[in-house]
Amino acid sequence: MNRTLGVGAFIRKQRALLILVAGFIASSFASPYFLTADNLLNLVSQASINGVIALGMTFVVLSGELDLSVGALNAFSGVLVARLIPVCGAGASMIIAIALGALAGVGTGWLVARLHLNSFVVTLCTMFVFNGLALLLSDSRPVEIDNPVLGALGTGAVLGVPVLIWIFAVLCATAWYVLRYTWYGRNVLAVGGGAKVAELTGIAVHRYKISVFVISGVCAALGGIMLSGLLSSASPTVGGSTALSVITSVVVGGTSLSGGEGGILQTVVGLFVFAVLSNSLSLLNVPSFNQTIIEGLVLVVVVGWDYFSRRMAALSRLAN
Amino acid sequence: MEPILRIKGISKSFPGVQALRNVSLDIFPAEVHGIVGANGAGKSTLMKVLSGVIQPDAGEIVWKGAQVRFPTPLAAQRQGIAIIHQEFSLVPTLSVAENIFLGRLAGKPWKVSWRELYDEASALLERVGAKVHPKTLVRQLRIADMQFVEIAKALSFRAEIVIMDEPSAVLSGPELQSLFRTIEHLTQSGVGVVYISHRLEEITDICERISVMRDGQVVETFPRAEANRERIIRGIAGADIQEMERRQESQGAREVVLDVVNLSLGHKLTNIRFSLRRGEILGLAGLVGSGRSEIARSLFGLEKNAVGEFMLNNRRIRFQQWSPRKAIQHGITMLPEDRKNEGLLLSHPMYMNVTMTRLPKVSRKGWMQFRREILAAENFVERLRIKAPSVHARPLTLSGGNQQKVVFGKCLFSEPQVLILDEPTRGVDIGARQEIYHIIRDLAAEGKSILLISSDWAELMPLCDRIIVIHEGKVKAEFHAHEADVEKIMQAALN
Repeated sequence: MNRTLGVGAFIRKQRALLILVAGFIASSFASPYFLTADNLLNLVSQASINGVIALGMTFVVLSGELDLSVGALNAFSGVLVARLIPVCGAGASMIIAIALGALAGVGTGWLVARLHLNSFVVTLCTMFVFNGLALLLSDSRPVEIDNPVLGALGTGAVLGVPVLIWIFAVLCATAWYVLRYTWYGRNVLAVGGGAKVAELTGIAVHRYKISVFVISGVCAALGGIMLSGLLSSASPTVGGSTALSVITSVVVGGTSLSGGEGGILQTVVGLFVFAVLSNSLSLLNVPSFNQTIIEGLVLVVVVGWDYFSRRMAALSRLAN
Repeated sequence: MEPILRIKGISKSFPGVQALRNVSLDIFPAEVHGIVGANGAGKSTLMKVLSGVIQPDAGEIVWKGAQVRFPTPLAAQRQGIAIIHQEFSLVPTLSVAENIFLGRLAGKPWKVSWRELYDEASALLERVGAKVHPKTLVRQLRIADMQFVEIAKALSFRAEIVIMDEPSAVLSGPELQSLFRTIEHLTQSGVGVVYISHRLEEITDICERISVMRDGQVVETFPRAEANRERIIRGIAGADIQEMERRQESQGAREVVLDVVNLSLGHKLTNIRFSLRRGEILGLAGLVGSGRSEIARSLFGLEKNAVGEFMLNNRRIRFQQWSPRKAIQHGITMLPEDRKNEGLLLSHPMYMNVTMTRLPKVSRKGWMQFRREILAAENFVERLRIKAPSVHARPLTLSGGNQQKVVFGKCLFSEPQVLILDEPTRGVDIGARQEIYHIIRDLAAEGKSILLISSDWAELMPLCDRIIVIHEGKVKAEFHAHEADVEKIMQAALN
């Protein structure tokens, strides 16, 4: 029906998916423990926090922008919730954190869409601001959390599946549906595919730009809450590399950094390429520094492969 | 005297277009050779062949008596042919001297000899007659001075022929005079200048010989003594210009849909006024830079600084509060000139391009209904005879004509009342061109009002009911279809 977003074309175009499948098979041979339910659930629930953030990032990247502030926002909202729980309880503090995430998105989006500032630079600045706020709120120390609601969120399970995974799965399905079946999603693609074209078509480009940063802000805040639930504490320095690894997942999946092309399925694949890799390397007791090196090399291979196949496609089109 | 450069029987074709047919031309040292012709006559293609940017299909270039080939622009430059394009090739963040010697800085690779660099640059600038300091950053220069830097750069390659592609388009008054003085400097030192321009007064003032191009051919070359305005215009326009049968005088008094009461935009437009009736095709003629595109862009809400007001279906609207979004909601839509960057999402499927102007038509409460969407798009494919494997095809893979039809489909999908068409046949081959003419006529017959901008005046006449000519931001003349001809339009547009 809808070929560019359809499952068939998705598989045909997806180099990352091939790598994911290959990695999955290789891992199950390499370690007998890999293919156990415990390990897989563990793998997915660890990926789900960055996964939620990556969903938001997908909207931002699709619209042709970047959000570097997600890691800092993630840490900030964790610390904020930890500080607020003794004051106003779990529910209210989570709502406040998410609302602040949304508000940050409005601010960033306004600067990007209305003042035409570069989103890379703007979110670099907000990253520093939220880093500082997180350190300020926490006195630069991890904050302990002792709250049953947050604990259940981070470590509880429903029907044998961790709550973190449920949250991620539901958000994934929603995001996928929104991108595929709504005007909103369609117009985000149009704005990222060509902001000028979209403007001349009567699409209110600035509203869409603001909205994607709101989505990203909300996802980052939610990620922070999930993380502090999982760890029963909130650290102000936890999000240092989050933004880059999230953007990496999005890009490795096949969503184009120049905007307009890609989607949620791609992001999920990209996310799990790295999740499977780091999981199996841990199972094989590869030291973590070596893990990073290997991950970096895999990234180069995926991106390079993608680049070459696009060049080939472009060349064969020219030849015709 | 022997010509320094002889072009013999050069031909060049692009898919669907014969850009140059058997062109022959001689250029002598120390002469200013003017080249005139309508947009699309082949001037730019010829200059690109001469400067090694593109390769001719047939014919030969003889340089100082020997046959040569210029496989790259650099090869032509080394031989001594320099071209100054309409768009400057300067790096704005570097200094004037660095730009002149870009890639060839004086001194050793590990140590630039700045003094030598600035001295040489100063000498060149002096030769050009420019009062520019070599240390100034290019981005701080005026347009005219940038042009001097370009000329100085050309001379630094020891150019013996300098080709100037519409150098005067961006200049006026005193700046223009200093350009002429520079050209005089050049010819006195033995450099030949090829001068392309639309401004006929300049051509007859400064050029010793003049060549007229039309439809990819040099139709005649004559010395200044034999040149006069009428002869040049006749040469540019040609005698046989009407192919399509002319539109029947229309429809009597239909109601006015769009009435531009006044429209001004900085220095570009002053007090424009005109009206457009239902089912009427109104042509906007004028040279590139005359302001005709700005009129279209203002009506579509793209010029933020436009002031004035217009009546749309008897509703008063001010340009200041207008935007593309509002324009589309009120039934005005525009087919942009640059379909690749402004008209289409090239790598998104065709149906998405078509429906994006009005998603509510193919969705319910914000949810897309794919089957309706595909059907709607297929309907346009059929109606506009778009040749594509399916509505899933990406515009990237279609020919220029079919891409343009997709843009038409997109515009029509929003059910406009007024259509602004900015160069709808640009980059479209002859066959598809005729189909687009038919589409435009059918739309008018359905009662849509059309504002048609085209550089190809020969296509305006048969298509339009009325033509207004824009010159330097003002409405210079207005013709009814039956009284217009290319010469009249040209007279009005050129002066």
